Amino acid sequence: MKTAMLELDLAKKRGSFMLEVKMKIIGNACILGRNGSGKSTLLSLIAGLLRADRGIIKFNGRDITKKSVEERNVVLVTPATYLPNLEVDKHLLWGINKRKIDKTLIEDIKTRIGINYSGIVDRLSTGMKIRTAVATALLSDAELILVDEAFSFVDDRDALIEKTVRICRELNKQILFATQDESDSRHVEEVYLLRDGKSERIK
Amino acid sequence: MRISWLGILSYLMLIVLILPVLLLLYWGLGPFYDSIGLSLQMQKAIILSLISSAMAVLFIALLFTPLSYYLSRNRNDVAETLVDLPAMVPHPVIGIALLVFDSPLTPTGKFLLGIGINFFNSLDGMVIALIIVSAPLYIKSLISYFDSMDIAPEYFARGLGAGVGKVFMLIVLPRSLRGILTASLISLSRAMSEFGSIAIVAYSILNFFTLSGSSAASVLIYQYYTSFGLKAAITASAAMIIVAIPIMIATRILSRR
Repeated sequence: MKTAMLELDLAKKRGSFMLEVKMKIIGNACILGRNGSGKSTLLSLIAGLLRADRGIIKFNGRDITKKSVEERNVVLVTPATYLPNLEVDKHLLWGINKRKIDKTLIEDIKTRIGINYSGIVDRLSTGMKIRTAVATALLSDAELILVDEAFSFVDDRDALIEKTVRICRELNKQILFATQDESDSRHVEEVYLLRDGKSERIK
Repeated sequence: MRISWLGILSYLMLIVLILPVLLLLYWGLGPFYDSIGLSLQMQKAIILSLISSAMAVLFIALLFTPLSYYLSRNRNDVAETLVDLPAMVPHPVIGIALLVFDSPLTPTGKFLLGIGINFFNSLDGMVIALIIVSAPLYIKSLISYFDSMDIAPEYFARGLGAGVGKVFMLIVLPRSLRGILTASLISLSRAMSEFGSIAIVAYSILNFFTLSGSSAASVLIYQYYTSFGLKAAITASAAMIIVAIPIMIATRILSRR
């Protein structure tokens, strides 16, 4: 099985803040940094929510710099990323466009991520919304999952990160998540420290 | 509770704003009551105004909801200025523009008349005029509704491979019914109150079942004023205000979150 690879060489100015990163991420990784270090900006650039001032984003060798959000095969999960009007079970299927729906896989991921509830997603608790969003991303066609802040809002944070990363490995997806907690680095192969808009690999 | 001069001034100005209309209601239904103002002709005119405005709003909602969403997500100053245009020009200009558009002397008119579409003194013309003059308000109102919506779900849905159109239909629209309804009622009020454009293009309607020969309420009030004098117009105007009030209240209730 080929390991996924994300190559970045980006610059983005936001007000007086300048993000300038050059990375080659192979496998699962986390980005460590304090508030305002540029983690969210970086993830938004990779997901296509923001456009870089200059630079290139390559995912598995494919240049996605100018691709629109829906063409990237990249999904960003945050505490606000859920489809409010859908039922949980419909929500989980949203990202399955090209493959056949595999019911055993869906049940397996539901159990492991802890989705033992149903109903309209908008009416669920924040933690339940996040689990739904994470499971939807895992089941989807997206090959790169970016997670910003979302893990911080669930009660079994550490276990959820561990399970999510393991499922990503099994499904041959790559995950990149932002965190402020250095101990998260044990779940992943690579760790980058982001400080004042500059990145440094520390694992 | 301390009463500030700003509060007193504000309410005073509010009274100044609505006083003439409130007094009209009093005079029209009280001392200056004239039965011609509530005649069958006036009732038909109000019904015609309601029906044509409702039809216009239905078309507006169908045609301009996607545009409102698109402009909210892709800001475009030129397009937004163009949207305002029909509301910025004097409304008789819209009536004249429609007459030229559908005149036998112009290519567009030859085409439209050729396929049986006649604006002059027809329900078609009235509804088209109401669409054009009321759509800007609908679009403006809905753009600000879409602006206030959290965009994160849309990016998430797109990141999972869905195109903008699919996201609009399945994620945005189901969450926008209240905004669409509020914008519809605002433009319904606007359409009900329109005079300038329909006074030119559809002074009276000749092709609408039992309402054939009727004018819109605003136009009929003007007719009463010019042919029977102020007194008949006062009662007719009061009737029109009473019809407008429930729409205003419904808009207010809906727009409150």
